[in-house]
Amino acid sequence: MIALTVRQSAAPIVRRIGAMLLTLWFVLTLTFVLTFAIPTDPARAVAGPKATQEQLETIRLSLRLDEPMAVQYVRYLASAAVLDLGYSHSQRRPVSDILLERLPYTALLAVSAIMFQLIVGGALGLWAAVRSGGLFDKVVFVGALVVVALPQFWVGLVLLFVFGFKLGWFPLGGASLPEGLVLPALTLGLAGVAWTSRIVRATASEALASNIVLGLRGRGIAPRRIVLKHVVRLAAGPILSVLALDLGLLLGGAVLVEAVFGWPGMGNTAFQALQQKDLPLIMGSVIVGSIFVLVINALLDTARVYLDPRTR
Amino acid sequence: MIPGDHDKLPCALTLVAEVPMTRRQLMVGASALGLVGVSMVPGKGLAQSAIDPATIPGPAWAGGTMGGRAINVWGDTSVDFDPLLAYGRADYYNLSNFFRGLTFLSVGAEPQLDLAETLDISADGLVYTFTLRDGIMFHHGRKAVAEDFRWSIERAVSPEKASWVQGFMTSVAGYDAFLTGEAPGLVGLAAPDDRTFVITLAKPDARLLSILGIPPFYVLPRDEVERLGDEFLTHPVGTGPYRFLSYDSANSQMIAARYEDYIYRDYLPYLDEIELRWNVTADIQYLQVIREDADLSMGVPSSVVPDILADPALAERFTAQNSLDVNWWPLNVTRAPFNDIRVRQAVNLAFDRARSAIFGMNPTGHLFPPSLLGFSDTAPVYLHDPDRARALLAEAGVSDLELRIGIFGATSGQNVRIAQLIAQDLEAVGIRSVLEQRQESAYDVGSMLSEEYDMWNMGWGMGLPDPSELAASLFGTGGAANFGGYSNPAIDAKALEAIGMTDRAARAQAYSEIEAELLTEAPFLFLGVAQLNSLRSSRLQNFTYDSALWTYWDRYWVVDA
Amino acid sequence: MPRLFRPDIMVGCVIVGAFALCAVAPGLLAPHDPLQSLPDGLTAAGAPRPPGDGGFILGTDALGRDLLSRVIYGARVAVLMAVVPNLIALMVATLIALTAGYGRGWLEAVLMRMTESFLVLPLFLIAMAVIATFGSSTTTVVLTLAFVTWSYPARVLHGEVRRLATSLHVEAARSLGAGVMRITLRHILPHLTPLLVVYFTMNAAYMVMLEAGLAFLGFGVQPPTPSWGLMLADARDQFFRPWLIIVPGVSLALLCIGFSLFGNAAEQNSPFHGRRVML
Repeated sequence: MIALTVRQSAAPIVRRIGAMLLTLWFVLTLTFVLTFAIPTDPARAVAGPKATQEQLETIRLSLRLDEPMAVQYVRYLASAAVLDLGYSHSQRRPVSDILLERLPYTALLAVSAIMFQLIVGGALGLWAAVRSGGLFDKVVFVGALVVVALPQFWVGLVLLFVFGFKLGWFPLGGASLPEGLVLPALTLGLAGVAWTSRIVRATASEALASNIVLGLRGRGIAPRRIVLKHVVRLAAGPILSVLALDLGLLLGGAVLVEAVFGWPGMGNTAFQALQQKDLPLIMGSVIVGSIFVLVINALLDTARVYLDPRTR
Repeated sequence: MIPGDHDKLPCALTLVAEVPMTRRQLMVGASALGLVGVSMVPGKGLAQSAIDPATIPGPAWAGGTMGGRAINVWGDTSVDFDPLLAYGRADYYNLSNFFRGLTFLSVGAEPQLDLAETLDISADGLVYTFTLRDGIMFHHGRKAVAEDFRWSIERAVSPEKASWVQGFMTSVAGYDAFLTGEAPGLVGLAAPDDRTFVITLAKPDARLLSILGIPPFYVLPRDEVERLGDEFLTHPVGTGPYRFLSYDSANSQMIAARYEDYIYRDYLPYLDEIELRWNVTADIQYLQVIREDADLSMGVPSSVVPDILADPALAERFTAQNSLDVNWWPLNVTRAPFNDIRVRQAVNLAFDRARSAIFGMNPTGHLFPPSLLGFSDTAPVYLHDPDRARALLAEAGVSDLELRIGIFGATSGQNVRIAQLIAQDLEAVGIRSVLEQRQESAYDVGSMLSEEYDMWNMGWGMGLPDPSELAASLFGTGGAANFGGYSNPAIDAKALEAIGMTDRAARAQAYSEIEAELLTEAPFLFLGVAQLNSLRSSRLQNFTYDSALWTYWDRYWVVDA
Repeated sequence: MPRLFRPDIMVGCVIVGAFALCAVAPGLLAPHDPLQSLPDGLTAAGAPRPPGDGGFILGTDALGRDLLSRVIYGARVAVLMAVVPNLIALMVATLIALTAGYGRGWLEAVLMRMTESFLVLPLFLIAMAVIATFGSSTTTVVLTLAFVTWSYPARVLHGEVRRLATSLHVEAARSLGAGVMRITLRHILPHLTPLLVVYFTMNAAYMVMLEAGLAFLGFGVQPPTPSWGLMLADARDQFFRPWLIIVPGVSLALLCIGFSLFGNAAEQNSPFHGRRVML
């Protein structure tokens, strides 16, 4: 998207939206094919584990499961267009209600994780750049390497045990705010701290050594503010583009983190839906998640183009 | 119901199903259960009711303090509080907080009169006349009358609802016509006046009082059920000791408050509020209880039990109970190799089920739980004998066998571990196995199980503490949990006959014969019954557990130090 | 000429080499059968043994199996997942990038939209759904991993192919009458190779992590096959026995560090240094 959208931002906005819609259609189709293929007995899911075979037959007839795939596909597209995502049999309420309730939790988690990684990663990167070549710089480098290599769900388990149970500083799972948010956001954002710090370190070093800064310094302007402003401007572009790339991964990681901490976001919802073979809920989660990423990507791209003068 | 070894109850219980009871006999029965020393605790500014505490059913309570709140955590991912649709644990085992019925299952799954004040059984055992207590109120402020009971019970077994308890009232007069739709209602249920409710049977049924004591047969307010529709699932309205206060789907919690007009309000419940929390995985539940963030977990993983027992403070708040959660591994008898009885028996002989004891199983090798009628110590369970297993396999002419084994509900971990134990023991007698974890429950796959696997795991939490439920669901032809394809018409006939037997001893004999036959035929790999580990906080007092209804929250109280 | 004996590359070599050895010849290194519940594998109370207890260097697990042996055999799955799905994903990505970048027009637009849609999808969920549909055999897991990760390199590769396709070399070759195949093989692919190497090394760690995450939730390789992700899942309710959680986690981290060191070195020494091609 980087190479293409640079070109397209000069083109009319219509082309951009058209591309998004086409992508969306791909997403819908792929989701449909996939969930259509999942082997499940929806009648059993509706009737519950203790229903007899005759009871199941009755329900199966009432669910119209015998219609051909093409017909179901058209019906599926039509309802997606009006945002009717169906009815979840595992939670016994409309899918859109469930997702509307859960999406903010995932969004909150993602935003907190991103803020955490920007702030901590940025600070570490800056400091490493200022102390370039020193011990701190090396420590940050090695630290980044190690942190990225740690499995997220493992980090979550360890944090939960140490800070949740042993020290009792944070609740053991659940969604109480703000205490319940800390550990999951930390876990999710930890890997991001690594690459953010490296990008900031690289751009900060570049900035520090650049002619502009030297020139400004020469005019007696306070170095800290210059560096900060310049670094932010330089780093914003790459950070935003990697963030866009990372967003899909972040939300994917959210599934694991939410599962470990019992955070009631969309990741956990989708995972449970998969466990229960609740097809409408699975499809709805995938679609809404994709739309979310698509929209945020577009926004980030716009922001990046605006912030980074080099790509204009 | 025969009390098991671990139930220390007086023999007065055995009177229950044998002889038609008069009011006096029932009253005597209840107080013989040891409802001693009930302190007369006045309710909070409510009108004094004329209830004799000795007639309040359920386990004993004494000396508790009113007030406080407690938190109960569960691993379920969703809850449904309609008594007919509650299939999980967090919902099903909390129904008795919101709803009550004609009878109530006390310790030992003993049915006692609850909302019915007296019971008269006709001499031929076919007509049960209940006189309801005075002043039974629904949470929304209406008085409960006999017609409500009639409607609720009819709803429970109606063909439209197609619920799992539908088959429990086959003995009631007019059931067949009701089931096929010929009759609009169940004629065997009648409410001649507001306080009289009559059940007329077509043939004797020893289980009726037990059946009425399980939550699906508790009384519901028709007006509220119809008004709330789907919302009723998360907004229960009944006659129970607690009434619904709030439901938070995002945080997976429900709060219930003491019901001020509860029928036994002068005495119970103790707590002002109880909070139910689900979506708390088992590996977190016991940690929350240890930290006193929660008061009760009934899902302590067996892997941490040694550590809990090693800490004396924790050990005294820990209990391991036998549940009515039957666990067995159905064998696919519809095709090779398990269509050969020798292979089936070989598998049972090869597996050393005692090894599964560390994984939360009480490996009795029976199908029936130890506390169930029909459980017999002399049943021909399989002993670990790999040599004989190999001999049988050779006799059956099978070699180079590879089995596909499905592990359902794999998130629990215990099933996965037990499956690996089975695989190891099968390997030792020359049978290879390929395991496959499936996150869903076997019931979701249903009839497709016999197409995909040779063997898989099943658990069945008995709702009705009576062997007829197992007969109907597990090994009866076409049973709700019988996916392995086992069918034995002789057993079906015997089980049907046993429902009508009123002589307790004869009934026990019939069922133990059935189990012996099943053991010999070996359509399953017999395992046992799941161990239930519970841990409570130091605040929670008077914790009592029973296998049918699990908890009795109306008579627990808390002390805050 | 890149310096091959820098400390970080050396460390990376040693780590990956050690695990590769475990993967190739686990029988030589492991003291016990990883599938066997050993007779003294559990304490008297039926609990796993801590490291050092009873002669088990890393202790035992809930079924009384030697943890060290399971870690060594677990390297098999890890290294397999680091290599095979990685190669498949890169092959698919290259194919699509070549077709799109060289084909142009509507074909390019369609393929790029498809690539983008994969990038937008919650890939972890898709992976789980695919495995739920097609079963969890090793083959399925490998193919699924490739299926959900090919789109990342495809995008940048496509950009590269397009750049190369319009370069002077290719123009010249085409004017001399060279066919598509020849141009692709002689002029485009060789220039893609450094990028592919970078992606391979950087993806390796990600693949291992992805499989571990799937296995943790039950969607990876099946028991009793030793897989580090499975071992972590098994350890979830064993907080009082931290070695069961630490050992597989550290193994995963070590392997990923090893691959990352390689990947870093590869990236720094490639013509693409600084272009943020990292995953």
